Amino acid sequence: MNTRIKYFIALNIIFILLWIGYLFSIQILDAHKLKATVQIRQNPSKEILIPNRGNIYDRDGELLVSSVKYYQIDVDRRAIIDNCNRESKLTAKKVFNKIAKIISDNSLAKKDFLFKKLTKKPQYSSIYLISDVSENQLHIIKREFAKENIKGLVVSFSNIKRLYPHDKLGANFLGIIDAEKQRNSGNSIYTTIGRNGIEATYNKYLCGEIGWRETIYDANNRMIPLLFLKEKAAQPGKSIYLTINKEIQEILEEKLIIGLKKYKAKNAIGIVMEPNTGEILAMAGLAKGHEERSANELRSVTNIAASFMFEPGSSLKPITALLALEKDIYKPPDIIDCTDYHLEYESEERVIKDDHKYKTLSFKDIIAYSSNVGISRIVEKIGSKVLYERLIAMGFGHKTGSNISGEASGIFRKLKDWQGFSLHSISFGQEISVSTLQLANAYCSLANGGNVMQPHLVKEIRDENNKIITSYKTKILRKISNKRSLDTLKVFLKSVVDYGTATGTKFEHLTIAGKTGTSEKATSGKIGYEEEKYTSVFAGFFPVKKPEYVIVIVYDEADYKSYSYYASLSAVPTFRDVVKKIVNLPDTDVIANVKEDNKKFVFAPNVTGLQLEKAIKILQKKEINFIVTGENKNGTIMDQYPKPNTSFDKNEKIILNLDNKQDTEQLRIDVYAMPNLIGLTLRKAIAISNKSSVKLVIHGNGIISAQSIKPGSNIKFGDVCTITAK
Amino acid sequence: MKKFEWMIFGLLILLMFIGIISIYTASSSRIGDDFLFANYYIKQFIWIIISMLILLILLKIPNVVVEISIFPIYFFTILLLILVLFLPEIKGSHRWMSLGPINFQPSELAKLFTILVLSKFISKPFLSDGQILFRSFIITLIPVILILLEPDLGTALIFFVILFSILLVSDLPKFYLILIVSPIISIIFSFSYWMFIIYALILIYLLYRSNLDKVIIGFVVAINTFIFFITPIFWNNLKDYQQNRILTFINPMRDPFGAGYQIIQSKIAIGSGGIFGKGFLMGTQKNMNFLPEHHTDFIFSVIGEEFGFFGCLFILLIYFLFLYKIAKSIIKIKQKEYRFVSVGILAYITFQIFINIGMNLGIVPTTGIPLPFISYGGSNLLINVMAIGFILKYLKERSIFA
Repeated sequence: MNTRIKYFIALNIIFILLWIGYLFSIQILDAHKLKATVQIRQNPSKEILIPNRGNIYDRDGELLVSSVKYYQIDVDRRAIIDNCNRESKLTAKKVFNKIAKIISDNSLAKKDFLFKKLTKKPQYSSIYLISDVSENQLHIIKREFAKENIKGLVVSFSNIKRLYPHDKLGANFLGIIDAEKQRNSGNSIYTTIGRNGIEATYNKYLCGEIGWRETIYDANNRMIPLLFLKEKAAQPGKSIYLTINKEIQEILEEKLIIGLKKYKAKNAIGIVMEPNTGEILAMAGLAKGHEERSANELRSVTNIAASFMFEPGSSLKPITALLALEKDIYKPPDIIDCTDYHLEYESEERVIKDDHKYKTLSFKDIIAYSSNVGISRIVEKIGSKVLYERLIAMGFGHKTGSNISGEASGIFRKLKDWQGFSLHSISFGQEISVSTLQLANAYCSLANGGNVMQPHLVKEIRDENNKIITSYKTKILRKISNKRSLDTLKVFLKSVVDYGTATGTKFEHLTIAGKTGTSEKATSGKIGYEEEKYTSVFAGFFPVKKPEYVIVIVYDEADYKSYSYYASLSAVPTFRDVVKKIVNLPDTDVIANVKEDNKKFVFAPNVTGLQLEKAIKILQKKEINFIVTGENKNGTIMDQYPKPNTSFDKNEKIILNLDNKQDTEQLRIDVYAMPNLIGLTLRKAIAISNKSSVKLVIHGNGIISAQSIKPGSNIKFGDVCTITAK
Repeated sequence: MKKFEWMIFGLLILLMFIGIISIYTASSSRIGDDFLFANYYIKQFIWIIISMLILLILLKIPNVVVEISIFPIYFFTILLLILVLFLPEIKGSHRWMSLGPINFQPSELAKLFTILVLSKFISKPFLSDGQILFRSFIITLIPVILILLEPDLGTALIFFVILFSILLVSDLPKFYLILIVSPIISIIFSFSYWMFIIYALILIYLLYRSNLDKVIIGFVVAINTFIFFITPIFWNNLKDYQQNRILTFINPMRDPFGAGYQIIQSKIAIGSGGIFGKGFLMGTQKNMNFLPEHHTDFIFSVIGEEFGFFGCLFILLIYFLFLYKIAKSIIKIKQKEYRFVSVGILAYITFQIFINIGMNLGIVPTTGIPLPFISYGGSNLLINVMAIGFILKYLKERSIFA
């Protein structure tokens, strides 16, 4: 017995020494290592705070791009299982089921899928559930978790997604964002970076500033709120206010999409600018298949409105004309020989011809009818150097300074590289490539009295408190020409619309000046031109007296067979459509400004939707002249302009449009033709009217002798027709 | 009548006092400059008072009453062990019975009364070896099977320790102990042919020397051979996850986020305490909930973290003194039954201490065995104090029967 007790004590001592030895090894030998482990996990770790990306607005504060933060949800199953063991009210399985339900109710994830994930073995670990929970969803999920008293929800930032309230609108200049990896104590976290367009150019404003926060988590991944922890809040991105007018952008894109299809063009480009400030009001560059392509794809391609280069053709002629006017080489009525012009230079021969042959044309009509021969003869008297310097001054051959990503500088050879016939070619827009933006900017300087502006797309940058940080002021880069010459040129350009090559865009009440241009496409990489491939341009501005809008429409490779390649048959009609819509915008006062001297301003009555007869009565009462367009003379007025309640000059005519194609299609649903009831019995009349949508008010009895709505006119559902029977 | 063993009693009180302090710090958590305290230490204090009262009663009641009531209580405990299997699960097993505000483990009670009943039955005079073996196996196996059903492997293991230790001091030839242990060793060695052959040779030699009945020797050989052949087959027929579970029990580090998690955290806590510790209430592992169960099974790691190497040495020293004192005293107990009881109790307390500390140090598998007298837990404390109470009672009364 005694020995056994001794054995026991010896065994105890052995064990105690064993434990002491082990304690010695971990508490003294390994202590620094284990202390470091504790340090790493219990020292504050820097957590990166991702700022929200700035929004993009149009000039009037209409939201074009905003962003949403998405979060990732993980569940710490250890915390849940421990909690279940402690409280023992629910099994962990039931809690997982609840979690799956809460999250599936507030996200796109399926409940079964989440539940399967949650119960995946080993259950004693944290598990990732979903990563695209928006702030709102997260809020609800958090609240539900709190309500059910479920612990273990781990939320982390996932990514930022851009939202586009107007879908494809402005896709060409807005650009697209991408994720950029940031270092965050081991875990990688992604911030946004603009890849192209406004997103890229103004990325440093939009992206905001990353913040950080020191955090300590306990074993259940709960943040421990300690006072000494430092934090630097993330600075949200600044908002960009564009010079774009969303309404005009919509009009431009809508009309270009129609044109793109109608004229079977490869590209359709349009720019609307404010000539006095250089602000770009609308800018669209659509390529074939625009409607089929996804919005993100459209946003990621280059902005062809600034990058696509083409030979401007005749649309460059006004510059030669302007120089001639400045130097008084010709007076507007001077007659110039316009027969085929044979040129000879160093034994090379070239014949300059016009499509329409003219024997002679006045200086003015050379522009109006766009004579290559005429302008070639004029340019000879101006000389290469002057033309070259003027074109450079007007912004050709180099970037406009617009700060638009992907802008092309065009191709314009140095003067010393000009060849024999370069002078003549350039006078009517060959041997030079321009971008639509350059052309628009050049026309701005023609329209605004000789100021070459810096075109710009961004109006101002504001911070999150709506305080303006930077605003982009109007900047005049250079001055050209003089007022007298420009005013004369404006008359020339007005004659293009009045009786020249662009009569298609003539308006009754609005003066427009512009110039068409139809040029063969230069073969890429070779000298010469491609067959049946043309670029059709119309550049114009209005109102002529005090221009407010410069619009350039370009069709690239418009259909050859249907003659759409002629600018007058493609670019000009689109120009007209765009102008028509712009002047009809509620807050546009172009028409009011057209004739300032005329003081008889009235408000346009609202006659849209009325029967023509009724409308005529109203207009006659108010002594307003009118023009009816469209074929269905008995129909309802679908459109009018000036728009209702817009002030306009009483001397002008109000235009009543009976067949606005797009609108009629929309209205066809509830518009019917009034049946002819005269000569029918009442019973039959009621039967017919029941089938149509008209309501009958009956006077008298017997055979119907009169009806208040004329047979065949359009009626809307619920219209009342009074019939008289005898 | 001999004097009361004040030394043992004093060390018991000291251990419980250390327990209160440890629970106080273990159940606190610091957030910034604020401390939050759970009220475990108050509960533990109340339990200490209750335990002391029961100890007092135990010392005062006549031995006869104890003698009479041992078997009925053992029987009642068996009933409780059956009943607990039909009660709802708490923390994933059927170990606990909920008695109002307190959770109680019948297996705690079973340990003590198995010792008492076992000692009583095998200390009867004129028992043959076979009778001793048979009685001790029946008395031990009934609670062990019921406890394994709960399931609670750690506690079931304690019963084998108790059985082994009591048989060791009994009149039974020592070779019988080989007989008990040999199947377990056979399982371990059955994975290697060479090891098993060496082991088998040693076993056969020992059996040859034992002068035991040939039938018994034959039985032992048959059993071990059977185990040798059946174990690999049985092992290979287990599903992967079952094998993993067993391997993880033996080596928890296989699963650092599951079974190994607590052990790793505990080891980090103790190690980061260094030589002198982080100071009272300053343990960061427990403050941030990295340490699970830190006021019950893993309280030693809290001590290690806050009081360092010297704190741990002090605890080990107190335990050693305590066990040494008891062991020394047991020699003085002349009555067989009481000696058996004391040895069983000593073995079971010792086993708990070393297993728990080993578990905290990350060397022994996590088995859910608390640190005697220090860990939080009412029923465990009560039973442990009662067990010491029996030793103290027998020590006090030994002169009467000697």
